[in-house]
Amino acid sequence: MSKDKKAVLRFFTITDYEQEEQWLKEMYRGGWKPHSFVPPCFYTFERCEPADMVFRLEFNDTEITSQSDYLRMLDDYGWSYLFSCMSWRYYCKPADTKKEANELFTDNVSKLEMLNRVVRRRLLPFAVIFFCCVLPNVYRGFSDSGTVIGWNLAWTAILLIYSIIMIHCLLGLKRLRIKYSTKR
Amino acid sequence: MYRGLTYGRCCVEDRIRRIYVPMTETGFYILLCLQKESHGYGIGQRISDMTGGALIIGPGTMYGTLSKMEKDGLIQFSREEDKRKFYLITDLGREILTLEKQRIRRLYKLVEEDEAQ
Repeated sequence: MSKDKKAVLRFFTITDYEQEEQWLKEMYRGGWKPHSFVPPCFYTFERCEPADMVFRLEFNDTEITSQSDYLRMLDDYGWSYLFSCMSWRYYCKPADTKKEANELFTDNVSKLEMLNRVVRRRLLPFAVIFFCCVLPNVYRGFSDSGTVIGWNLAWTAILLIYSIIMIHCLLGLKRLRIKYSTKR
Repeated sequence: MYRGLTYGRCCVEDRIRRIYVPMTETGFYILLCLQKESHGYGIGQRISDMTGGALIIGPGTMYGTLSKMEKDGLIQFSREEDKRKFYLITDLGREILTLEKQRIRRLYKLVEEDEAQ
């Protein structure tokens, strides 16, 4: 990779989007602008002039090409669309002194609506895979004496990783729900 | 048939009233502004001017609220210019806005009476 580009590994779960926004802000302050993201943890950055930029992630499963009016509105507000990945859109804009001017969503109702979309489209399918695929396979591995030990270990490792991510997501969800429910 | 249609329409309007009265601050200002035709960013600018910069509505919140209000028949799409969608309040929207204004007037009157005591 050239001197003006670099790849960075960093993992964020689906309820860590505010931390990811903060990290991207710090990267830009250090002179690195995000260029792309490949799940689960591969970011590429381009060299840029360090500046105080704010980043916002939006979970939006509507095709972006059908929302040219929304992109126009974002542009009017000063936001630049960077890229999207698996329904997550990345936007940035120069930081404003007014806190609300740095937000896509300025009331708790719309913040909660986006969070609920994340739960429906990401967290629920993730939980279904956990209960319908991972757990039965681990159970079958241990109850059936004929299963190869390697498979058992692999499924147990998957169960462990899955459980850690799941607990992390659920705690994150609870934290965000409390935060967005606070009356301002 | 006719009675059925009338009943159906009333049910829909009752549901809309239940959802929008009382209204969120964001919703109220948007509906108030759309008595004159405008687009999302224009509405945001007007609200900011009206409130002396105290209320800023972000583009995500603005777009979501406009889409919901259009779907519920409170506002209607009027035209598109340079990829900006313009909207205008509908009769149902005016009715809801009137109900909300009455509610706010009642509250204001109570506050005034309370202050006077």
